[in-house]
Amino acid sequence: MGALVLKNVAKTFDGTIACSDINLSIKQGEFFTFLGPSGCGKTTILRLIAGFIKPQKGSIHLGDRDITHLEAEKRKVGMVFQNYALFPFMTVYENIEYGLKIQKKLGREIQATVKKYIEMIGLGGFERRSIAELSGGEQQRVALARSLVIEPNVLLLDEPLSNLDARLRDKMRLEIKSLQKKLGITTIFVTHDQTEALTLSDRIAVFDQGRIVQTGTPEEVYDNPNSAFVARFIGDTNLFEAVFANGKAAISNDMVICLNGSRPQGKFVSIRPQDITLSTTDPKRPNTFRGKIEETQLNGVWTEHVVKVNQIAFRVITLNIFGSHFKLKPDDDIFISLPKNSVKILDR
Amino acid sequence: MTSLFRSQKTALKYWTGKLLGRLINRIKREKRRLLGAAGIAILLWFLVGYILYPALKTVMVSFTDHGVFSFTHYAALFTSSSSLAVLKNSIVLGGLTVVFCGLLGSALAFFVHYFEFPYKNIVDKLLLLPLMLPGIIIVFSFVQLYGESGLVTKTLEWILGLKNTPYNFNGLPGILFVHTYTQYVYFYISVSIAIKHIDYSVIESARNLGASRMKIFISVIWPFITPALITASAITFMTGIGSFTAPSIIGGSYKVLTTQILLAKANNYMGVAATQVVVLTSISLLFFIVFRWYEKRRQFSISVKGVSIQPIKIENPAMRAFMLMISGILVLTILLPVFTILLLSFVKSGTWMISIYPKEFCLENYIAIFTKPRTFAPFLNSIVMSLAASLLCLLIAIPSSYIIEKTKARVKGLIEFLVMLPWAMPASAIAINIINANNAPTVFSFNTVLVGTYILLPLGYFIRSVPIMVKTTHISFQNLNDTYIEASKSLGGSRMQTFGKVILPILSPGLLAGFLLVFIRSIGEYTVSAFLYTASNKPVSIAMVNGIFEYNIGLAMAYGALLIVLTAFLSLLISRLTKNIF
Repeated sequence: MGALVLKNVAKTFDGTIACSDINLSIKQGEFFTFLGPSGCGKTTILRLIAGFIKPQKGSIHLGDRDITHLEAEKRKVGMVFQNYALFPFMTVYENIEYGLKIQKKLGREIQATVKKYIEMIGLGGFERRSIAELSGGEQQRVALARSLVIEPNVLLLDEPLSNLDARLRDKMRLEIKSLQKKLGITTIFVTHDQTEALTLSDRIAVFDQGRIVQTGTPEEVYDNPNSAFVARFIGDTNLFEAVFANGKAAISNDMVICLNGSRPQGKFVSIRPQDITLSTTDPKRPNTFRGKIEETQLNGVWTEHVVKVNQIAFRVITLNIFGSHFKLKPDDDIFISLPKNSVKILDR
Repeated sequence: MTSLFRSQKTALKYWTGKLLGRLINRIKREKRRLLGAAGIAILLWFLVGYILYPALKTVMVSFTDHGVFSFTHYAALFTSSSSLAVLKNSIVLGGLTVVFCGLLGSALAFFVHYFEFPYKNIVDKLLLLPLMLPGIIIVFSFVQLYGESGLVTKTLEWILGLKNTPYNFNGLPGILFVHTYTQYVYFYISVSIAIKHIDYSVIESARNLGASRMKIFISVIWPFITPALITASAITFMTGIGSFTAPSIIGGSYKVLTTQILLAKANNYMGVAATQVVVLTSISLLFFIVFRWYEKRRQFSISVKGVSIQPIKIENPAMRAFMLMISGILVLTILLPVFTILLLSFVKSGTWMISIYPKEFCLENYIAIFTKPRTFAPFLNSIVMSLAASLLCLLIAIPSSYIIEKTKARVKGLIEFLVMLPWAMPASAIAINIINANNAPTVFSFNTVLVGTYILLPLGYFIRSVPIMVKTTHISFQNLNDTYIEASKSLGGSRMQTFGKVILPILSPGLLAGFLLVFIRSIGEYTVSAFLYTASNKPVSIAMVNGIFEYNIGLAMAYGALLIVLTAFLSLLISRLTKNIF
């Protein structure tokens, strides 16, 4: 079917801008994620792609067709809703066959296709159940199968995991990914959960206040966030406003961090908690500061520490490899080292 | 030169094409908006013409004497001692109805929902029955049971060896008896819902904090049920002062506003009738406002999903037997009037005059109804008019609910006010309003006079039931989540396919239930009928009354039995339809 392309798309509701300057090109078969806090416009764009609403500006293309003004029912864009929107008066089977019946497919063909997808989602034997008899996870699968039977050009998933409990969410995440891989279907996934975005996606677009702030692979957006917003939204970070001079960044009067590269300029420095190293004796490395443990918290796989260096708090994470973890208590003296290459400079 | 000309021409073509396309799109968009606006205008025209204008016309009539503006009718009403007595009677009747219904309904609600006993569900369902039965049927069955020559009265006389009737069923006590039997249901329903919503963990936490049982009742249970009691009181009071059927048939010398309104209308004192209607409606409206205010407030009170009360299981066998006996008596008392009517419908005409109990039974009455055109006509009339009223309700309620529930139209508040307004009007007021509005040609009736025509009565039934119909359709539209429509579209469903396969199946059970409810409420309706019927559309309730006064009791009861069977069947159908909705 080709790529899904959005050009300069903008949408306003009663004067409030829901999204603007949206430029995206999603490749055939790609798993693409819209990530952002709630109310950032990601669902609006999903609904624009589905055709439920029309943009005031810009255009949407699927392959070589301009679908900007095409009615939703003619787009063949499958959508899984946040609340699933399964038809409550139909059985599992009737819900899944709905799209095929609309297409007026032959009875035998419908039966075979529905059977195939029911097996695929692992709900064989559930055909005659009513929707009310299903658990959240089962409803989720039916919703998925219902959109997949029409072999959509693009599959849209609107926070599909947000109504499930934590354990089920992990399981469904894996299932969605493997189903998408198997079918090779272009998928857009909307979420505000960074873990979902990082684990599932081929590429991520990070949204803030109706605009795309950064697009890239999970590695790119995690390792090289282009703004304070992205750094903070994806993963934990220690973020400081800083004054840049002579290849150094001053985050306070007595705390100056040496940086990589020749005389870099910016507005913030960011360093991930796991990139900071702790030592009980001075390691004699650059960017080492002496501080005090304020708080430690065992989290199982890792331990989280808050270290105060002259009133500035750093969050530091150390892995609990057997026998190696620190036995630190509040008020213990400690040295923190910030490796030069892990300090990221951000312009905004 | 030519190439330039050509390119200019293509450019011109391109731009005109683009402009034309935009224009067509614009018209398409505007067309939908214009159609919507036209639909709203027609709806408002109808609601104003048939609900608001008649009410205002009555107010006007009440302030007009001999063609000029005056307060004479009000002055007469508030200075004449007999008129004031009537007003006082109405208010006393309303107040006492509230007291008796409140005591009985709340006691029953606590009994059913606080204890676990056999056949509890059946008792719970049966307790709702009196609300579904037409009032006229209940009144007549009570007359046949407890009246001067009633079955129960005569039996008591016989057992106790009395010469005279042990009690006087006519007048205030009789009316109150009928009211209590029919209207406790409002209290029963509200208090039952309140009890089901009491969060048991709140009671447990009160106990945990050391509260005694009495303290728990006063500080926890009572605040939970007071809003229910207040709303039920307001509704019961409105029904009590607006009641016409019982006072007109068994009221005797106990005169109330509703019966006086019919008297004034019959004597063609429309100014007097209008004034009484305005006074009655004003009182009713006051209580309606109280009701709506508390109803809206109550919706916020349930915050977190709690644990509901577990009914107390009674282990003591003696207590169990006692509970079983109480529920047995309840079932019997509720069903007795129904059985009486069914039984008496088989009584052979003229055979039951001197003995206490009827002896000869036959199918004569039913055969008469279904074979003689003169006796079949009322039954047919009622069915046709009830269908017409139900259909009209559906036609008005669907767009009204849609506008109120699913659009941002500026007039939706007005529409909601108009469709709910008849709720605050007693049936007699509705009837007088219709007469006042339609005894002269108006724009709303396309310059025709509707008084004296067939259509007036079904119109009255419609106005009486439109609020309850809108309430029912509301729930249907609330169930119609927009995402269902979007889901259907994303699966390729066209507008028509989505409407037929998704929207209609979601809406139809509620709409059909509402339709049937209006039908049930209209088929045995007596008050509006008594005011508005003509020779051409005499309904079954009027035929029943005529039958009684002509001593053709068997025929009257056969009409009643038919209504009961129809009502029972349709009620069952309604509860089936709404099982998954409410």
